[in-house]
Amino acid sequence: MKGTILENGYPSIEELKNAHRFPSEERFQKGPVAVIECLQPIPCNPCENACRFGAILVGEPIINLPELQEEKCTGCGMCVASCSGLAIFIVDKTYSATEATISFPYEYLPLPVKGQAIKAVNRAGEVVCDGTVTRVMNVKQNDHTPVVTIAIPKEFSDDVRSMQRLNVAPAEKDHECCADYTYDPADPDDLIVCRCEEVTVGDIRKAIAEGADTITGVKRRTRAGMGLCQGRTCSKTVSKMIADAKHLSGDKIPLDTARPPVKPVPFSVLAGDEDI
Amino acid sequence: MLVNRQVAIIGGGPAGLTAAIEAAKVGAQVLIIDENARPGGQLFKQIHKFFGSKAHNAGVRGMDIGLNLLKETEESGAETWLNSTVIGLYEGNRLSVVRTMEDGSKKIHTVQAEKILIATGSQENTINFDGWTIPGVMGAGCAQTMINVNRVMPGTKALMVGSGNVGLMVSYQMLQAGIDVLGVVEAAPKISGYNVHAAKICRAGVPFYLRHTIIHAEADESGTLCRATIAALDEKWNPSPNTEQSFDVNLVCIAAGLRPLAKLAQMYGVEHGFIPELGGWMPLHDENMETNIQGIYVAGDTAGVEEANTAMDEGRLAGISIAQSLQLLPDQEAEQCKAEIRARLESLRLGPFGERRLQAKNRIVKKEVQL
Amino acid sequence: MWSKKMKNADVVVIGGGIQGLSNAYYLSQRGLRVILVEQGDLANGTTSRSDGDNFVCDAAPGFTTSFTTAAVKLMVELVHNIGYDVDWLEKGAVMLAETEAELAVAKEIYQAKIEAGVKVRFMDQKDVHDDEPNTAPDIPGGLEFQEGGSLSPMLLAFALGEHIKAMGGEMLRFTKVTGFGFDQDGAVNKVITDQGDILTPRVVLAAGIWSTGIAKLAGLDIPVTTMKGDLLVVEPGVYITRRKTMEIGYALVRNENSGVERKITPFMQQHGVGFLVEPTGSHNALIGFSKYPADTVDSNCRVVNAIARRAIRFFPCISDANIIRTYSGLRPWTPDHEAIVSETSIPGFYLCTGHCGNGITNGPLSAKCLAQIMFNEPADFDMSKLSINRFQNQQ
Repeated sequence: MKGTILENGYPSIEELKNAHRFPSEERFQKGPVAVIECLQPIPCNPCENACRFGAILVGEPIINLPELQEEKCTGCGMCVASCSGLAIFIVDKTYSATEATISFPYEYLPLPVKGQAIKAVNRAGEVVCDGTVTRVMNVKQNDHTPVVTIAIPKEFSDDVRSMQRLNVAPAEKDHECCADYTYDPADPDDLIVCRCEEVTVGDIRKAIAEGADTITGVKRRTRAGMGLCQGRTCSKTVSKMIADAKHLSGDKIPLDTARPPVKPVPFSVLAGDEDI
Repeated sequence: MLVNRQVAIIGGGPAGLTAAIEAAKVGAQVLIIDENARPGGQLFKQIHKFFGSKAHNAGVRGMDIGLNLLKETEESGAETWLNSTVIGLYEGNRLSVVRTMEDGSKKIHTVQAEKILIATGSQENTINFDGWTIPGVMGAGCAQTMINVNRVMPGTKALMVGSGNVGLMVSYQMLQAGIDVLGVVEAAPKISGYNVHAAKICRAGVPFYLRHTIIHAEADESGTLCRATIAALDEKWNPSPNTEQSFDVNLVCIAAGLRPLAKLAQMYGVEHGFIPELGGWMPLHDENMETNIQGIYVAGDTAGVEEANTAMDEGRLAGISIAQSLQLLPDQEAEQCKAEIRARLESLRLGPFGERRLQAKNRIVKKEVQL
Repeated sequence: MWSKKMKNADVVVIGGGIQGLSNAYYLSQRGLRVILVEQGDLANGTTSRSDGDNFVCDAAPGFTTSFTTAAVKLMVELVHNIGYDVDWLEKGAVMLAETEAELAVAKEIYQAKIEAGVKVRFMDQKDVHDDEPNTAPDIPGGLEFQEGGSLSPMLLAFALGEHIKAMGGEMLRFTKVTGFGFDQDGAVNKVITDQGDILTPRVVLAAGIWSTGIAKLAGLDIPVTTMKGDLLVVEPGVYITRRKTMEIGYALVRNENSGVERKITPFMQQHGVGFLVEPTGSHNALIGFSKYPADTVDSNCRVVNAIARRAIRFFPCISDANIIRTYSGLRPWTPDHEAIVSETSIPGFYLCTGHCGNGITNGPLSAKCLAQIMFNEPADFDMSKLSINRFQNQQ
């Protein structure tokens, strides 16, 4: 899994090419074309309907990966904003002798303006080169998914997929900014499980050792789950602690009893019942 | 006060509203009870475009789907009580409801209904680590409500724990709101949500910390969160010493999954089963979304945690089944509609992300769940 | 299953609630080899569904008052020596009258308690409000009982359980009694359970609301039925009053005294609804009460609503407080609302059940007295009052 889409969060160019999800170099040389970076079978097909040239096929079932008929694709870009996963890009390697353009969905404010100099980033969000905004498409049918086109040096056209956000200072690479800070582990037994009644891991372990083998049993011994939230927060943790201690699967730990009211209710409201 | 209705729907989220629309449009007398100021459930915080097919409004933002549903609900003639909470479900299909009246006062009502749909959604799981109770540590769904519904910034620098779709989507939406997301922490060796969601936040420069977990959150003198520490996990899933990394953050979001919220069903003695694929304990139902107690239906996340598209289709399925059982819809027509919806639901549950849910749902309707 | 190896005991106690545990506790202290059998977890029945009052205020005059007075004393001793925190709050209790007619009843109760040596103070309207300013202004008076306190019945049960274990007693949880064996003289010699058999010359049936069914397995008819009660839990951190407070109606309802008309609706009348508040050691409060025949523990929303209204009547400040939970319990009830602490027609077979809502207070003393009966020791009380024979004699 090392270095794959599941680990990185984005597909590598090899993964795209191996999955036959990348237009041929021949097609790139003919002009703008859609690059669909959608490699997982998820139930989704708006791109198919968005293309009026019938260049994108999904078919049935809708978990099929979209297939680009590259000869039908005009690079018009109608599909870019239609993709709910923001995974379609238009790449034009014929923009100029030295530059290519990349069009991508960009749902951040502020929006760049035409002519603005920006930092172009790759799929991992790393700045790879400078670029210039050539177009910002924010028409109504995009439904608040503006499509930004940037011009970048041609050699980066397979890597660049977005631009650095304008309101963000250059990312601090080193997040371990607390160099002088060392984490001092607390006693695990002091960890609170039920915050309403301040019941700790230690209290619950003791109750389990004394024979509690249900959520209700722990509740009666420790008050875990008897507070304001009525166990909404802690009951699952308590159940897991019992399961772990007794080597049981989750289905062997029954739910705790549900009692009215499911939400706190003032006395005055109940007292107003006309039928009593 | 005792109020009688043919159909009571608890929860006006995607499942509740679609059920109400289907039942009301063929003439059922429907009452939707929702505890919020406006119905729609989680739809109004779903500012992203939905997946699915055209029939599922794919490509439309969740909040716009919500607006459309509200309009349809109004047109269907269903009645809605807002700011009203069902606090108990009692013998004889009776609901105890704290209803907010027009003048803002609260009044207790007993609603008796022939058919009851419980569509109360799900709740977020917590994880307990040192400091998890500090203000600033919250559920990812909670942070999402704050930024997208309440328009309040829960913090400026955030760490997300959990890389399922909720963790990925909320990370993206926090970036959109101007929150710096310093990383996504995931205990598994791989990102668990959709790759297209992960790719969006990768392009924004958010790193993933796989095989890591949060071990500590710390507050400053004022009691607010100022730092979070993560550590790598060893092969036994325990934090390894000397792998700690700390982040200066004032927001830690926990996206550790959801579980069905079905206290009312449980209170009424509805049969539950333990279905890990759908969030653990949940009320069991048949292919019409009816539980083992006749007249009590479940749909949406209450009937197993999935997503809004499946919730809407399950709601429709429940609504049509209810209308059919009230003899407001001819059997043939009802069966045809239900078959179409079931086919759509199946298409939403295909593929590596859906197949376990599909199998689990099949086990449930075929009554193959061990009790 | 341990059926392959039959167990032996000097005494088998059936029931893991406050009665069973109290019996197992005192019998273990006597050096007996005790096995306690419980169908679920400890404190699974009425023990986990009751308030934890230990007061003499609602006891009927005569035997019951003197027995309960001693029971409260024993409980105070017990909680101070038990070595576990059982949320004990020893602040006495207050009984409030709603009307002048009820105040007259309060005076009668006052006289009777004074004669029984109970520490009680009569309070007029001013006394009541000086004592607790939150009390509704029109409450005409009441009684203050200076002795006794409240505790968490569940914590007491678990504490007793730990002591029984430490003394070598065995507790078989999730074990259901399915029958009994007898010798040729008709004396009990075996307890049969779904997990195996236990040879024993003595059995104490202390199974609360399940006693009637289990007694039948031994061929005994006992008149223990179920009487439901509902409780409301107030959110933590809301101050209502500092100590246990209830309306005089509590004693009237409990002792089925219909001589005084209470100012309540017919629905409340039917369901024995009234007011009781018990601030707990866990910083919240329990609100009661109700009393009506029923055999399930599902909450009844209208009864809960009626209790809420009654609570506001006595403490208007409770109006805005939240109820976070409601629950119901079934009191093991008898025709004369007194317990059965008794030997039976079966040699070796004893009963400790039917405590009619006073089982927490009276549990330890009942167990102690039953042990005296068991070993033919001079009794501290005239236990014929609690004998099963009193019902047979009636028939």
